[in-house]
Amino acid sequence: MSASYTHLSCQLLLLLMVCRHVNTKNTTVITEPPVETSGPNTPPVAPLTPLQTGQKSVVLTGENHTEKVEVVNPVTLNLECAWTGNNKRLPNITGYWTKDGKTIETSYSNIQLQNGRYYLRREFSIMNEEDLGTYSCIFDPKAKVDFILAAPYLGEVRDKPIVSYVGDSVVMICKMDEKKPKPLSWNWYKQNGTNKVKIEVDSPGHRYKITKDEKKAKLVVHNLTESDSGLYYCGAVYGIGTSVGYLQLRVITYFEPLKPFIGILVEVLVLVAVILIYEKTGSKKDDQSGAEGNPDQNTNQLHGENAAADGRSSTRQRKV
Amino acid sequence: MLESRRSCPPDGGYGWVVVLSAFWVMGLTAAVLKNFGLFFLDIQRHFGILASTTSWITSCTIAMFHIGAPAASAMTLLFSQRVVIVIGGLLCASGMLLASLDLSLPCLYFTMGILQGTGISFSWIPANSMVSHYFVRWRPIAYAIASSGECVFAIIFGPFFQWLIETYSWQGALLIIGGLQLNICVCGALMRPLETTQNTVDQGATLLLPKRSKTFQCSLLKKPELLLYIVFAILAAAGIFIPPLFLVPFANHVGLHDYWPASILSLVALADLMGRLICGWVANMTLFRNLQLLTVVVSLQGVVLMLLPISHNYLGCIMFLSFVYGFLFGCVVAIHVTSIVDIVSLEGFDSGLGLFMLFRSIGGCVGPPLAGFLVDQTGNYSAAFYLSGFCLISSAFFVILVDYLVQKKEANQTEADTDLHFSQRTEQQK
Repeated sequence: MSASYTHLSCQLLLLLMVCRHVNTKNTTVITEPPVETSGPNTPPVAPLTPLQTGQKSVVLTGENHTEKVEVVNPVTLNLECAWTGNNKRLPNITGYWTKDGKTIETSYSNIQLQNGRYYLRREFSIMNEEDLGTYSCIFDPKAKVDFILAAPYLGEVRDKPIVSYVGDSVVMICKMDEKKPKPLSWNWYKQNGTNKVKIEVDSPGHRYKITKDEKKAKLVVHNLTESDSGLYYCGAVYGIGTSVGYLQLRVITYFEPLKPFIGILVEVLVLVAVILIYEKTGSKKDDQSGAEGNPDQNTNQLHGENAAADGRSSTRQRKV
Repeated sequence: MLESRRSCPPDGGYGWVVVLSAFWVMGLTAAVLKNFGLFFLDIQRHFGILASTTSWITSCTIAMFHIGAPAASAMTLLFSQRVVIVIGGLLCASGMLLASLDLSLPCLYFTMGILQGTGISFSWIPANSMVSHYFVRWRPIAYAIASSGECVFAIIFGPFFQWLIETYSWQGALLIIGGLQLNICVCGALMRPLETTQNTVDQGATLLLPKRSKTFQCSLLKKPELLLYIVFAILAAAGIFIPPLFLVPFANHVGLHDYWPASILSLVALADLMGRLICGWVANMTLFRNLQLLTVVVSLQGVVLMLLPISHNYLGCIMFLSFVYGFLFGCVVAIHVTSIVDIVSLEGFDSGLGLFMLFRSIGGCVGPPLAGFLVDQTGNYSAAFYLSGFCLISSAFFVILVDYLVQKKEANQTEADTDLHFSQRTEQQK
């Protein structure tokens, strides 16, 4: 009796320990950012909100397919691939999952033909930025479906550099599509060497001005200098991570377009001078030799005009 | 007996240099105007204004181009083509230069709008005039070659302006384009003035009298032929300016997307170039009178435009009809200015051209908004094409009338001449 009692208490203790472990495991799986509810000395207690779940299924008819999945907040994602199979139609094949090219070892499984299709399913916890990437389900040997998980992509960002002049001000805009979910906030960064430096509005000189809309963020830089040239990044912050787009700024001085302009100006002046001088010297020669030949020239041209005029009879020939 | 003055068109020789110069002038003016649209977005973004406010800049330029035409003609008669073209070049360049300084939006209306428009007017009109004065036999083809400059430069300037804007931003691009427009002055320098001589035939002796100074002839308007031709110009302008605006939205509406609408415009531009050259050559063969050819071409163009909406979304059909439209557009352009000489004779050409351009602007200003109104009412782009087709076909009737009147006048003239010489001979025999 006492042995079974201790056995029972041991089991209860074990159960309690496991329960406590499960409890802590649940608390590390946080969906919302931790909320400070207790006093300054006690560690924050995170609310146990249920995790969002999502489902993405793809039916593969060929050998390759790519699917873009936009993740806004941390989510438990169920990815499912259904392959219609190839000519061989083997009853049993193997399949596995990879993330960013690296095979997930525990994902190897035998798949049986069900309703004419091979199914491969797996549940993934997408919690933070590292969990984003390309997840592929691969049916041996060759069929593959790529799921590209990412934060919502930014709208059209100008790929050519923005050109502006020293002393001028420039406006850089980053937009999120109307149909996509709103970001929580926007950030602007400037590339300094190899790291990104966050741009603060209160920087010395008050040169930067950031206007944030729900779907749009504007960065205005006043009083440009040449050192302002470079890469600027705008980031749309979502629960899962930041979606980044970049813009390149080029600051030039007024001398840059002035150089070709002065070149053209010189060319124009030279050509005009050459033409006028050529004409002056040409006309002097004409004056010297032209006096004799004039009357003949005129009557000839007169006849020429008559002959060319439509259907007019040439009654202007003098008859003596 | 006093015979009429004749300016002696060399019909070749230095005339071809003039054609080349006119080719460049038309390119540096009209092609720049056609590519204004590339600056649209950048200017709109820079000043933070609406699209319609930005488009007023182009409207300002085009309006000044037409309003300045009679002034340009008058100045051409007063001074010479060379002086006016040089002035035009300087105005264009200064307009672009001041615009590149980026002072303010109203300043942009003044510089890119008024200065540039006036400069274009002062360059384009005398260039046309010069080509017509230098040629008689080869006039249609000379004018066709000169006006094709507009097409060739428009095709080149498209990507070139785009590159300029990307490298130097729109202010720098305007500065460089202003510099390029200074080359209009070079072309002006090439326009050597002709000498007009007055011949009197008095019993065997030929005397040379100094040339009579010409004045701007507003009285030309009293001529019914010119008046009717101006009505043709108004209707034709209304018909011609509508399709380029509505072709792309129509293509989109019908279901063509991606790069097809833009390629339709390129096709029209290429067909335009071919039309100008081929029609100039055909007109030169004098198989038909200029006005007869004009009637045929204008009415065909009207018919083609009426057929365009019926093509629905058959891509091949739309491309073919657009090509034919572009070709006929080039033909009309090649002939409609040289026809002015047939109507008012070479002495009145400058004034006639000025008046023609001034009144044509009415059509150009009324046509597109009216078409836009019809499109809004019917909810269908076909209405715009039906309107332009109707305008063109009705304008063809006026050309027929003008042709008839001109033929009648010439027949009367030759009758009077034969009577005159008959009486001369009888007098001499006495």
